[in-house]
Amino acid sequence: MKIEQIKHIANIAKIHFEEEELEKFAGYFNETMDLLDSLQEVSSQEEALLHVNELDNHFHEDIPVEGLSQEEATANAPTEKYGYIEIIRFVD
Amino acid sequence: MEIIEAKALELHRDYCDGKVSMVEIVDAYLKQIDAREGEINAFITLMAEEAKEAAALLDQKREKSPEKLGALAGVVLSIKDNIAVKGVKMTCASRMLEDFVPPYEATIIEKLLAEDAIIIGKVNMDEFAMGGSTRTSYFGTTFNPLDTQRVSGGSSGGSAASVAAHFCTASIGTDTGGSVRQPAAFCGVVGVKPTFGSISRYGVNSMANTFDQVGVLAQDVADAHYILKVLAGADERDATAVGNEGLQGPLEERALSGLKIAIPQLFETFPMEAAIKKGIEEVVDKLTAQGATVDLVPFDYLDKAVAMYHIIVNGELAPNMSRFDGVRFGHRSEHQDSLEELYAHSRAEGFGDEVKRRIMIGTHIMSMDHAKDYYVKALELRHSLQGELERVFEDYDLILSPTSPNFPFLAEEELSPVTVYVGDTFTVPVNLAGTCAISIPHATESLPMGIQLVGQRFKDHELLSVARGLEELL
Repeated sequence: MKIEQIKHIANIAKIHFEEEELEKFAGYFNETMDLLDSLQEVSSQEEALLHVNELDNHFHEDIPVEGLSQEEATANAPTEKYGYIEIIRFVD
Repeated sequence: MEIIEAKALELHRDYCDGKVSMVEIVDAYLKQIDAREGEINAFITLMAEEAKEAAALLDQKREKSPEKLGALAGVVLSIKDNIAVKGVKMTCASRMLEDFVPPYEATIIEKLLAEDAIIIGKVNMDEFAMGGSTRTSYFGTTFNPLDTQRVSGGSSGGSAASVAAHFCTASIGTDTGGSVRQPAAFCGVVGVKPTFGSISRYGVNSMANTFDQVGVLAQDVADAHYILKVLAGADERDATAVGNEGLQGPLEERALSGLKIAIPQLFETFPMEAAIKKGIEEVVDKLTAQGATVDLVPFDYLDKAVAMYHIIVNGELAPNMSRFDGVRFGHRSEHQDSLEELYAHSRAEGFGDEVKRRIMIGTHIMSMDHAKDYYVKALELRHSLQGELERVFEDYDLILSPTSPNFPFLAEEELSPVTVYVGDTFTVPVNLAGTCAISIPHATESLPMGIQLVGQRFKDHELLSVARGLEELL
Protein backbone atom coordinates (compact mmCIF):
# COMPACT_ATOMS: atom_id res chain seq x y z
CA MET A 1 0.00 0.00 0.00
CA LYS A 2 1.43 3.33 -1.05
CA ILE A 3 1.23 6.50 1.01
CA GLU A 4 -0.99 8.11 -1.63
CA GLN A 5 -3.53 5.29 -1.32
CA ILE A 6 -3.54 5.55 2.45
CA LYS A 7 -4.12 9.30 2.16
CA HIS A 8 -7.08 8.58 -0.06
CA ILE A 9 -8.60 6.20 2.53
CA ALA A 10 -7.93 8.72 5.33
CA ASN A 11 -9.79 11.28 3.27
CA ILE A 12 -12.84 9.00 2.96
CA ALA A 13 -12.62 8.05 6.66
CA LYS A 14 -12.34 11.75 7.53
CA ILE A 15 -9.30 11.38 9.75
CA HIS A 16 -6.43 13.85 9.51
CA PHE A 17 -2.92 12.35 9.57
CA GLU A 18 0.43 14.08 9.77
CA GLU A 19 2.97 12.91 7.18
CA GLU A 20 5.13 11.01 9.71
CA GLU A 21 2.06 9.20 11.08
CA LEU A 22 1.27 7.97 7.58
CA GLU A 23 4.67 6.28 7.34
CA LYS A 24 3.91 4.26 10.47
CA PHE A 25 0.45 3.45 9.22
CA ALA A 26 1.73 2.05 5.95
CA GLY A 27 3.64 -0.69 7.79
CA TYR A 28 0.64 -1.61 9.88
CA PHE A 29 -1.67 -1.50 6.89
CA ASN A 30 0.40 -3.92 4.90
CA GLU A 31 0.79 -6.34 7.82
CA THR A 32 -2.94 -6.36 8.46
CA MET A 33 -3.90 -6.62 4.79
CA ASP A 34 -1.59 -9.66 4.50
CA LEU A 35 -3.62 -11.29 7.27
CA LEU A 36 -6.92 -10.37 5.61
CA ASP A 37 -5.68 -11.44 2.16
CA SER A 38 -5.14 -14.96 3.49
CA LEU A 39 -8.88 -15.51 2.93
CA GLN A 40 -8.47 -15.09 -0.80
CA GLU A 41 -7.06 -18.62 -1.07
CA VAL A 42 -10.12 -20.15 0.59
CA SER A 43 -13.08 -20.95 -1.63
CA SER A 44 -16.54 -20.32 -0.22
CA GLN A 45 -19.51 -22.57 -0.84
CA GLU A 46 -22.14 -20.75 1.15
CA GLU A 47 -24.19 -17.62 0.77
CA ALA A 48 -23.25 -14.56 2.79
CA LEU A 49 -24.41 -14.78 6.40
CA LEU A 50 -25.82 -11.42 7.43
CA HIS A 51 -27.31 -12.40 10.80
CA VAL A 52 -26.32 -15.29 13.05
CA ASN A 53 -29.91 -15.69 14.30
CA GLU A 54 -33.14 -15.90 12.33
CA LEU A 55 -34.79 -12.58 13.02
CA ASP A 56 -38.49 -11.83 12.65
CA ASN A 57 -39.79 -8.35 12.19
CA HIS A 58 -41.80 -7.08 15.12
CA PHE A 59 -44.04 -4.14 14.37
CA HIS A 60 -45.74 -1.83 16.77
CA GLU A 61 -48.22 0.99 16.38
CA ASP A 62 -46.59 4.27 15.46
CA ILE A 63 -47.49 6.16 18.62
CA PRO A 64 -45.51 9.30 19.44
CA VAL A 65 -43.73 9.14 22.78
CA GLU A 66 -41.81 11.70 24.75
CA GLY A 67 -38.15 11.87 23.66
CA LEU A 68 -35.22 13.82 25.07
CA SER A 69 -35.88 17.44 26.03
CA GLN A 70 -34.10 20.13 24.02
CA GLU A 71 -31.82 20.72 26.99
CA GLU A 72 -30.92 17.02 27.27
CA ALA A 73 -30.38 16.72 23.52
CA THR A 74 -27.89 19.58 23.42
CA ALA A 75 -26.21 18.89 26.77
CA ASN A 76 -23.35 16.93 25.19
CA ALA A 77 -22.80 19.25 22.23
CA PRO A 78 -19.41 21.01 22.34
CA THR A 79 -21.22 24.34 21.90
CA GLU A 80 -24.88 25.22 22.06
CA LYS A 81 -26.70 28.37 20.97
CA TYR A 82 -30.38 29.30 21.44
CA GLY A 83 -31.19 25.68 22.35
CA TYR A 84 -29.57 24.32 19.18
CA ILE A 85 -26.30 22.53 18.52
CA GLU A 86 -23.94 25.21 17.28
CA ILE A 87 -21.48 24.49 14.52
CA ILE A 88 -19.14 26.63 12.50
CA ARG A 89 -20.33 28.74 9.61
CA PHE A 90 -19.79 26.68 6.46
CA VAL A 91 -21.64 28.59 3.77
CA ASP A 92 -20.80 32.11 2.67
CA MET B 1 -15.57 -14.64 55.62
CA GLU B 2 -14.63 -11.14 54.62
CA ILE B 3 -17.38 -9.26 52.80
CA ILE B 4 -15.26 -8.48 49.77
CA GLU B 5 -14.47 -12.14 49.18
CA ALA B 6 -18.09 -13.27 49.34
CA LYS B 7 -19.90 -14.40 46.19
CA ALA B 8 -23.01 -12.67 44.87
CA LEU B 9 -25.31 -15.47 46.02
CA GLU B 10 -23.82 -15.42 49.53
CA LEU B 11 -24.04 -11.64 49.82
CA HIS B 12 -27.63 -11.66 48.60
CA ARG B 13 -28.60 -14.33 51.12
CA ASP B 14 -26.77 -12.69 54.02
CA TYR B 15 -28.18 -9.29 53.15
CA CYS B 16 -31.75 -10.57 52.95
CA ASP B 17 -31.23 -12.42 56.26
CA GLY B 18 -30.18 -9.17 57.91
CA LYS B 19 -26.66 -10.36 58.68
CA VAL B 20 -25.00 -7.40 57.00
CA SER B 21 -26.11 -3.95 55.85
CA MET B 22 -25.69 -2.58 52.34
CA VAL B 23 -23.78 0.38 53.74
CA GLU B 24 -21.31 -2.06 55.33
CA ILE B 25 -20.92 -3.97 52.06
CA VAL B 26 -20.29 -0.82 50.01
CA ASP B 27 -17.87 0.52 52.62
CA ALA B 28 -15.91 -2.74 52.56
CA TYR B 29 -15.46 -2.49 48.77
CA LEU B 30 -14.57 1.21 48.94
CA LYS B 31 -11.92 0.42 51.52
CA GLN B 32 -10.44 -2.22 49.24
CA ILE B 33 -10.55 0.20 46.29
CA ASP B 34 -8.77 2.78 48.40
CA ALA B 35 -6.06 0.23 49.22
CA ARG B 36 -5.38 -1.14 45.72
CA GLU B 37 -6.80 1.10 42.98
CA GLY B 38 -3.58 3.12 42.85
CA GLU B 39 -1.63 0.15 41.50
CA ILE B 40 -4.44 -1.28 39.33
CA ASN B 41 -6.32 1.61 37.68
CA ALA B 42 -9.56 -0.29 37.11
CA PHE B 43 -11.96 2.64 37.30
CA ILE B 44 -12.55 5.50 34.93
CA THR B 45 -15.34 6.91 37.11
CA LEU B 46 -15.63 5.74 40.69
CA MET B 47 -19.19 6.29 41.94
CA ALA B 48 -18.42 6.20 45.67
CA GLU B 49 -20.98 8.79 46.76
CA GLU B 50 -23.74 7.44 44.51
CA ALA B 51 -23.07 3.91 45.77
CA LYS B 52 -23.18 5.01 49.42
CA GLU B 53 -26.47 6.86 48.87
CA ALA B 54 -28.01 3.92 47.03
CA ALA B 55 -26.84 1.60 49.81
CA ALA B 56 -28.46 3.73 52.52
CA LEU B 57 -31.72 3.78 50.54
CA LEU B 58 -31.64 0.02 50.11
CA ASP B 59 -31.11 -0.46 53.84
CA GLN B 60 -34.22 1.68 54.43
CA LYS B 61 -36.15 -0.46 51.95
CA ARG B 62 -35.08 -3.63 53.77
CA GLU B 63 -36.28 -2.08 57.01
CA LYS B 64 -39.70 -1.11 55.64
CA SER B 65 -40.54 -3.82 53.12
CA PRO B 66 -38.05 -6.69 53.12
CA GLU B 67 -40.40 -8.75 50.95
CA LYS B 68 -39.80 -6.32 48.09
CA LEU B 69 -36.00 -6.76 47.95
CA GLY B 70 -34.77 -7.53 44.43
CA ALA B 71 -32.75 -10.51 43.26
CA LEU B 72 -29.51 -8.50 43.40
CA ALA B 73 -29.96 -6.83 46.79
CA GLY B 74 -26.59 -7.15 48.50
CA VAL B 75 -24.65 -7.29 45.21
CA VAL B 76 -22.22 -4.56 44.09
CA LEU B 77 -21.34 -4.29 40.40
CA SER B 78 -18.89 -2.42 38.23
CA ILE B 79 -19.98 -1.51 34.71
CA LYS B 80 -17.80 -1.34 31.62
CA ASP B 81 -17.58 2.25 30.42
CA ASN B 82 -19.32 1.60 27.10
CA ILE B 83 -22.66 0.97 28.84
CA ALA B 84 -24.87 3.97 29.57
CA VAL B 85 -25.68 4.77 33.18
CA LYS B 86 -27.87 7.86 33.09
CA GLY B 87 -26.17 10.99 34.38
CA VAL B 88 -22.76 9.32 34.80
CA LYS B 89 -19.87 9.91 32.38
CA MET B 90 -19.54 7.24 29.68
CA THR B 91 -16.19 7.65 27.97
CA CYS B 92 -15.69 4.35 26.11
CA ALA B 93 -12.10 4.95 27.34
CA SER B 94 -11.67 7.55 24.58
CA ARG B 95 -10.67 11.18 24.51
CA MET B 96 -13.54 11.50 22.03
CA LEU B 97 -16.09 10.95 24.80
CA GLU B 98 -14.04 12.28 27.71
CA ASP B 99 -16.93 14.48 28.90
CA PHE B 100 -19.92 12.61 27.50
CA VAL B 101 -22.80 12.12 29.94
CA PRO B 102 -25.58 9.86 28.60
CA PRO B 103 -29.06 11.32 29.07
CA TYR B 104 -30.62 7.86 29.22
CA GLU B 105 -30.19 4.48 30.87
CA ALA B 106 -29.18 1.28 29.06
CA THR B 107 -31.91 -1.37 29.29
CA ILE B 108 -29.60 -3.66 31.27
CA ILE B 109 -28.88 -0.91 33.81
CA GLU B 110 -32.64 -0.44 34.29
CA LYS B 111 -32.92 -4.17 34.91
CA LEU B 112 -30.01 -4.30 37.36
CA LEU B 113 -31.27 -1.31 39.33
CA ALA B 114 -34.81 -2.72 39.39
CA GLU B 115 -33.32 -5.79 41.12
CA ASP B 116 -31.55 -3.56 43.66
CA ALA B 117 -27.96 -3.97 42.45
CA ILE B 118 -25.58 -1.22 43.56
CA ILE B 119 -23.27 0.26 40.93
CA ILE B 120 -19.86 1.20 42.31
CA GLY B 121 -18.32 2.66 39.17
CA LYS B 122 -17.56 2.66 35.47
CA VAL B 123 -14.53 0.59 34.61
CA ASN B 124 -11.69 0.85 32.14
CA MET B 125 -11.53 -0.88 28.78
CA ASP B 126 -9.69 -0.68 25.50
CA GLU B 127 -10.73 2.43 23.59
CA PHE B 128 -14.17 1.74 22.09
CA ALA B 129 -13.57 -1.94 23.03
CA MET B 130 -10.88 -2.26 20.33
CA GLY B 131 -8.01 -4.19 21.87
CA GLY B 132 -7.13 -7.00 24.23
CA SER B 133 -5.10 -5.35 27.00
CA THR B 134 -6.65 -1.95 27.98
CA ARG B 135 -3.43 -0.43 26.65
CA THR B 136 -5.43 1.43 24.01
CA SER B 137 -7.44 3.23 26.75
CA TYR B 138 -7.08 7.02 26.87
CA PHE B 139 -7.10 6.62 30.66
CA GLY B 140 -4.08 4.32 30.87
CA THR B 141 -3.63 0.59 31.31
CA THR B 142 -5.47 -1.44 33.90
CA PHE B 143 -2.88 -3.63 35.60
CA ASN B 144 -3.50 -7.24 36.53
CA PRO B 145 -4.33 -7.64 40.24
CA LEU B 146 -2.53 -11.02 40.24
CA ASP B 147 0.70 -9.46 38.95
CA THR B 148 0.68 -5.71 38.56
CA GLN B 149 3.56 -5.76 36.06
CA ARG B 150 1.16 -7.39 33.62
CA VAL B 151 -1.93 -6.32 31.71
CA SER B 152 -5.42 -7.28 32.81
CA GLY B 153 -6.44 -8.21 29.26
CA GLY B 154 -9.23 -6.65 27.30
CA SER B 155 -11.23 -5.13 26.19
CA SER B 156 -13.20 -5.58 29.46
CA GLY B 157 -9.94 -5.38 31.45
CA GLY B 158 -11.32 -3.00 34.08
CA SER B 159 -14.22 -5.38 34.62
CA ALA B 160 -11.97 -8.40 35.12
CA ALA B 161 -9.51 -6.53 37.33
CA SER B 162 -12.28 -5.07 39.48
CA VAL B 163 -13.64 -8.57 40.19
CA ALA B 164 -10.19 -10.11 40.75
CA ALA B 165 -9.14 -7.28 43.09
CA HIS B 166 -12.44 -7.58 45.04
CA PHE B 167 -13.52 -4.04 44.18
CA CYS B 168 -17.03 -5.38 43.50
CA THR B 169 -18.97 -8.64 43.55
CA ALA B 170 -19.19 -8.99 39.78
CA SER B 171 -18.94 -6.86 36.65
CA ILE B 172 -20.81 -6.29 33.42
CA GLY B 173 -18.68 -6.27 30.26
CA THR B 174 -19.16 -6.68 26.54
CA ASP B 175 -17.71 -9.32 24.21
CA THR B 176 -17.21 -8.73 20.49
CA GLY B 177 -14.37 -11.21 19.90
CA GLY B 178 -13.38 -12.42 23.37
CA SER B 179 -13.52 -9.18 25.34
CA VAL B 180 -15.19 -10.77 28.36
CA ARG B 181 -13.51 -14.19 28.24
CA GLN B 182 -9.89 -13.19 27.61
CA PRO B 183 -9.60 -10.64 30.48
CA ALA B 184 -11.45 -13.12 32.73
CA ALA B 185 -8.78 -15.69 31.81
CA PHE B 186 -5.96 -13.19 32.41
CA CYS B 187 -7.29 -12.19 35.86
CA GLY B 188 -8.35 -15.64 37.06
CA VAL B 189 -12.12 -15.05 37.15
CA VAL B 190 -15.13 -16.49 35.30
CA GLY B 191 -16.34 -14.73 32.14
CA VAL B 192 -19.45 -15.63 30.17
CA LYS B 193 -20.47 -14.50 26.71
CA PRO B 194 -24.04 -15.67 26.24
CA THR B 195 -25.61 -16.51 22.88
CA PHE B 196 -25.86 -13.52 20.54
CA GLY B 197 -29.26 -11.86 21.04
CA SER B 198 -29.75 -13.00 24.65
CA ILE B 199 -29.31 -9.54 26.16
CA SER B 200 -30.43 -6.10 25.05
CA ARG B 201 -27.76 -3.75 23.76
CA TYR B 202 -29.88 -0.62 23.99
CA GLY B 203 -27.57 1.92 25.61
CA VAL B 204 -24.44 -0.10 24.86
CA ASN B 205 -22.06 1.63 22.47
CA SER B 206 -22.11 -0.27 19.17
CA MET B 207 -18.81 -1.58 17.92
CA ALA B 208 -19.79 -4.38 15.53
CA ASN B 209 -23.52 -4.95 15.49
CA THR B 210 -23.61 -8.62 14.52
CA PHE B 211 -20.95 -9.53 17.12
CA ASP B 212 -21.38 -7.40 20.26
CA GLN B 213 -22.96 -9.09 23.23
CA VAL B 214 -23.14 -8.15 26.89
CA GLY B 215 -21.46 -10.62 29.26
CA VAL B 216 -20.77 -11.13 32.94
CA LEU B 217 -17.50 -11.47 34.86
CA ALA B 218 -17.82 -13.06 38.28
CA GLN B 219 -16.04 -15.15 40.88
CA ASP B 220 -17.75 -18.36 39.90
CA VAL B 221 -20.17 -19.91 37.42
CA ALA B 222 -23.20 -19.79 39.72
CA ASP B 223 -22.77 -16.04 40.29
CA ALA B 224 -22.38 -15.37 36.57
CA HIS B 225 -25.51 -17.37 35.81
CA TYR B 226 -27.46 -15.60 38.56
CA ILE B 227 -26.67 -12.18 37.08
CA LEU B 228 -27.20 -13.30 33.47
CA LYS B 229 -30.74 -14.34 34.42
CA VAL B 230 -31.47 -10.73 35.34
CA LEU B 231 -29.89 -9.35 32.16
CA ALA B 232 -31.40 -11.69 29.56
CA GLY B 233 -34.60 -10.87 27.75
CA ALA B 234 -36.03 -9.43 24.55
CA ASP B 235 -36.21 -5.66 24.25
CA GLU B 236 -38.37 -3.65 21.87
CA ARG B 237 -35.60 -1.04 21.80
CA ASP B 238 -33.11 -3.56 20.35
CA ALA B 239 -34.47 -5.61 17.45
CA THR B 240 -31.63 -8.15 17.73
CA ALA B 241 -32.37 -8.87 21.41
CA VAL B 242 -34.61 -11.92 21.24
CA GLY B 243 -34.07 -13.10 24.83
CA ASN B 244 -32.94 -16.51 25.95
CA GLU B 245 -35.31 -18.79 27.81
CA GLY B 246 -32.41 -21.20 28.27
CA LEU B 247 -30.82 -18.86 30.79
CA GLN B 248 -33.83 -18.64 33.08
CA GLY B 249 -33.95 -22.02 34.84
CA PRO B 250 -31.74 -23.02 37.78
CA LEU B 251 -28.35 -24.60 37.08
CA GLU B 252 -28.57 -28.39 37.01
CA GLU B 253 -26.31 -30.96 38.58
CA ARG B 254 -24.79 -32.20 35.36
CA ALA B 255 -22.69 -35.36 35.54
CA LEU B 256 -19.51 -35.09 33.49
CA SER B 257 -19.60 -38.80 32.67
CA GLY B 258 -21.00 -39.48 29.23
CA LEU B 259 -20.25 -35.94 28.02
CA LYS B 260 -18.78 -35.70 24.54
CA ILE B 261 -16.28 -32.91 24.18
CA ALA B 262 -14.47 -31.78 21.03
CA ILE B 263 -11.07 -30.09 21.01
CA PRO B 264 -10.18 -28.36 17.73
CA GLN B 265 -7.29 -30.17 16.07
CA LEU B 266 -5.70 -26.75 15.61
CA PHE B 267 -4.87 -26.92 19.33
CA GLU B 268 -2.09 -29.39 18.54
CA THR B 269 -0.22 -27.15 16.12
CA PHE B 270 -1.17 -23.64 17.23
CA PRO B 271 1.75 -21.79 18.87
CA MET B 272 1.01 -21.38 22.56
CA GLU B 273 2.78 -21.22 25.88
CA ALA B 274 3.78 -24.67 27.13
CA ALA B 275 2.02 -24.26 30.49
CA ILE B 276 -1.25 -23.43 28.68
CA LYS B 277 -0.99 -26.57 26.60
CA LYS B 278 -0.16 -28.59 29.71
CA GLY B 279 -3.14 -27.05 31.52
CA ILE B 280 -5.53 -28.21 28.79
CA GLU B 281 -4.03 -31.70 28.89
CA GLU B 282 -4.59 -31.82 32.66
CA VAL B 283 -8.21 -30.82 32.21
CA VAL B 284 -8.68 -33.46 29.52
CA ASP B 285 -7.24 -36.11 31.87
CA LYS B 286 -9.60 -35.04 34.64
CA LEU B 287 -12.59 -35.07 32.30
CA THR B 288 -11.81 -38.51 30.91
CA ALA B 289 -11.26 -39.83 34.45
CA GLN B 290 -14.83 -38.69 35.14
CA GLY B 291 -16.10 -40.68 32.17
CA ALA B 292 -16.29 -37.91 29.57
CA THR B 293 -15.10 -38.53 26.01
CA VAL B 294 -12.69 -35.96 24.62
CA ASP B 295 -11.73 -36.08 20.93
CA LEU B 296 -9.54 -33.96 18.68
CA VAL B 297 -11.77 -32.79 15.86
CA PRO B 298 -10.65 -31.19 12.58
CA PHE B 299 -12.13 -27.80 11.63
CA ASP B 300 -11.64 -26.37 8.14
CA TYR B 301 -12.37 -22.74 8.95
CA LEU B 302 -11.05 -22.14 12.45
CA ASP B 303 -7.62 -20.93 11.39
CA LYS B 304 -9.32 -18.43 9.06
CA ALA B 305 -11.54 -17.03 11.81
CA VAL B 306 -9.26 -14.14 12.81
CA ALA B 307 -9.08 -12.87 9.22
CA MET B 308 -12.85 -13.21 8.78
CA TYR B 309 -13.39 -11.48 12.09
CA HIS B 310 -11.24 -8.47 11.27
CA ILE B 311 -12.83 -7.99 7.88
CA ILE B 312 -16.42 -8.11 9.11
CA VAL B 313 -15.87 -6.36 12.43
CA ASN B 314 -13.86 -3.52 10.91
CA GLY B 315 -16.41 -3.31 8.11
CA GLU B 316 -19.16 -2.89 10.69
CA LEU B 317 -17.31 -0.58 13.04
CA ALA B 318 -16.05 1.94 10.49
CA PRO B 319 -19.56 3.23 9.67
CA ASN B 320 -20.54 3.02 13.37
CA MET B 321 -17.65 5.29 14.24
CA SER B 322 -18.75 7.90 11.69
CA ARG B 323 -21.18 9.24 14.29
CA PHE B 324 -18.21 10.83 16.03
CA ASP B 325 -17.83 13.97 13.97
CA GLY B 326 -17.22 16.68 16.57
CA VAL B 327 -20.60 18.28 15.93
CA ARG B 328 -23.38 16.91 18.17
CA PHE B 329 -21.33 15.38 20.97
CA GLY B 330 -17.78 14.34 21.68
CA HIS B 331 -14.45 16.04 21.16
CA ARG B 332 -14.34 19.04 18.81
CA SER B 333 -11.04 20.28 17.41
CA GLU B 334 -9.96 23.92 17.38
CA HIS B 335 -9.14 23.45 13.67
CA GLN B 336 -12.30 24.93 12.24
CA ASP B 337 -11.39 26.51 8.91
CA SER B 338 -13.94 24.34 7.17
CA LEU B 339 -16.48 21.75 8.17
CA GLU B 340 -14.31 19.11 6.50
CA GLU B 341 -11.35 20.15 8.66
CA LEU B 342 -13.45 20.15 11.76
CA TYR B 343 -14.45 16.53 11.14
CA ALA B 344 -10.98 15.30 10.21
CA HIS B 345 -9.16 17.04 13.05
CA SER B 346 -11.78 16.23 15.70
CA ARG B 347 -11.45 12.56 14.77
CA ALA B 348 -7.65 12.73 14.56
CA GLU B 349 -7.45 14.25 18.05
CA GLY B 350 -10.30 12.28 19.60
CA PHE B 351 -9.34 8.75 18.53
CA GLY B 352 -6.28 6.75 19.51
CA ASP B 353 -4.09 4.77 17.10
CA GLU B 354 -5.87 1.41 17.30
CA VAL B 355 -9.28 2.97 16.66
CA LYS B 356 -7.89 4.87 13.67
CA ARG B 357 -6.26 1.72 12.32
CA ARG B 358 -9.51 -0.22 12.48
CA ILE B 359 -11.58 2.56 10.94
CA MET B 360 -9.04 2.85 8.12
CA ILE B 361 -9.02 -0.90 7.43
CA GLY B 362 -12.83 -1.00 7.60
CA THR B 363 -13.15 1.95 5.24
CA HIS B 364 -10.73 0.36 2.79
CA ILE B 365 -12.34 -3.07 2.64
CA MET B 366 -15.88 -1.67 2.46
CA SER B 367 -15.05 0.55 -0.51
CA MET B 368 -16.78 -0.19 -3.79
CA ASP B 369 -13.70 -1.80 -5.31
CA HIS B 370 -12.98 -4.16 -2.41
CA ALA B 371 -16.27 -5.01 -0.67
CA LYS B 372 -16.90 -8.10 -2.78
CA ASP B 373 -13.40 -9.54 -2.38
CA TYR B 374 -13.21 -8.97 1.35
CA TYR B 375 -16.48 -8.25 3.08
CA VAL B 376 -18.83 -10.48 1.07
CA LYS B 377 -16.25 -13.26 0.97
CA ALA B 378 -15.83 -13.12 4.74
CA LEU B 379 -19.61 -13.25 5.23
CA GLU B 380 -19.76 -16.37 3.06
CA LEU B 381 -17.00 -18.01 5.08
CA ARG B 382 -18.71 -16.93 8.29
CA HIS B 383 -21.66 -19.02 7.10
CA SER B 384 -19.35 -21.99 6.48
CA LEU B 385 -17.83 -21.61 9.96
CA GLN B 386 -21.25 -21.47 11.61
CA GLY B 387 -22.30 -24.60 9.67
CA GLU B 388 -19.13 -26.35 10.67
CA LEU B 389 -19.72 -25.63 14.36
CA GLU B 390 -23.31 -26.83 14.07
CA ARG B 391 -22.14 -30.09 12.51
CA VAL B 392 -19.65 -30.60 15.37
CA PHE B 393 -22.49 -30.05 17.83
CA GLU B 394 -24.44 -32.89 16.21
CA ASP B 395 -21.83 -35.25 17.65
CA TYR B 396 -20.46 -33.33 20.63
CA ASP B 397 -21.95 -31.49 23.60
CA LEU B 398 -19.25 -28.85 23.92
CA ILE B 399 -16.02 -27.57 22.42
CA LEU B 400 -13.01 -27.13 24.71
CA SER B 401 -9.91 -24.98 24.16
CA PRO B 402 -7.71 -22.53 26.00
CA THR B 403 -9.36 -19.11 26.16
CA SER B 404 -6.07 -17.49 25.22
CA PRO B 405 -2.90 -19.21 24.00
CA ASN B 406 -0.89 -16.86 26.22
CA PHE B 407 -0.64 -15.68 29.79
CA PRO B 408 -1.09 -11.95 30.36
CA PHE B 409 1.89 -10.16 28.88
CA LEU B 410 4.01 -7.51 30.56
CA ALA B 411 2.46 -4.06 30.39
CA GLU B 412 5.62 -2.70 28.74
CA GLU B 413 6.01 -5.51 26.18
CA GLU B 414 5.79 -4.35 22.57
CA LEU B 415 3.62 -6.50 20.34
CA SER B 416 2.51 -5.82 16.77
CA PRO B 417 -1.25 -5.38 16.33
CA VAL B 418 -1.44 -8.51 14.19
CA THR B 419 0.31 -10.61 16.89
CA VAL B 420 -2.35 -9.43 19.31
CA TYR B 421 -5.16 -10.24 16.83
CA VAL B 422 -3.94 -13.81 16.34
CA GLY B 423 -4.11 -14.35 20.12
CA ASP B 424 -7.91 -14.26 19.71
CA THR B 425 -7.98 -17.40 17.54
CA PHE B 426 -10.00 -19.46 20.03
CA THR B 427 -12.42 -16.73 21.08
CA VAL B 428 -13.50 -15.02 17.83
CA PRO B 429 -15.18 -18.10 16.26
CA VAL B 430 -17.77 -17.93 19.06
CA ASN B 431 -18.80 -14.41 18.03
CA LEU B 432 -18.65 -15.22 14.33
CA ALA B 433 -21.11 -18.08 14.88
CA GLY B 434 -23.18 -16.32 17.57
CA THR B 435 -22.85 -19.16 20.08
CA CYS B 436 -22.26 -19.03 23.83
CA ALA B 437 -18.99 -19.61 25.68
CA ILE B 438 -17.45 -19.38 29.11
CA SER B 439 -13.91 -19.00 30.41
CA ILE B 440 -13.23 -20.62 33.77
CA PRO B 441 -9.93 -20.24 35.60
CA HIS B 442 -7.52 -23.12 36.04
CA ALA B 443 -4.44 -22.84 38.24
CA THR B 444 -1.01 -23.41 36.70
CA GLU B 445 2.43 -23.13 38.25
CA SER B 446 2.47 -19.40 37.52
CA LEU B 447 -0.66 -17.37 36.77
CA PRO B 448 -4.07 -18.98 36.24
CA MET B 449 -5.14 -19.74 32.67
CA GLY B 450 -8.60 -19.73 31.12
CA ILE B 451 -10.39 -22.90 30.03
CA GLN B 452 -12.94 -22.05 27.36
CA LEU B 453 -16.06 -24.14 26.87
CA VAL B 454 -18.23 -23.35 23.86
CA GLY B 455 -21.88 -24.36 23.75
CA GLN B 456 -24.65 -24.34 21.18
CA ARG B 457 -26.72 -21.26 20.44
CA PHE B 458 -29.45 -20.75 23.06
CA LYS B 459 -28.25 -23.73 25.09
CA ASP B 460 -26.35 -21.52 27.51
CA HIS B 461 -27.97 -23.30 30.40
CA GLU B 462 -26.40 -26.60 29.41
CA LEU B 463 -23.02 -24.93 28.94
CA LEU B 464 -23.17 -23.30 32.36
CA SER B 465 -24.33 -26.48 34.08
CA VAL B 466 -21.34 -28.39 32.69
CA ALA B 467 -19.03 -25.45 33.45
CA ARG B 468 -20.10 -25.55 37.08
CA GLY B 469 -19.32 -29.25 37.22
CA LEU B 470 -15.90 -28.66 35.68
CA GLU B 471 -15.25 -25.74 38.03
CA GLU B 472 -15.75 -28.08 41.00
CA LEU B 473 -13.43 -30.61 39.44
CA LEU B 474 -10.55 -28.16 38.86
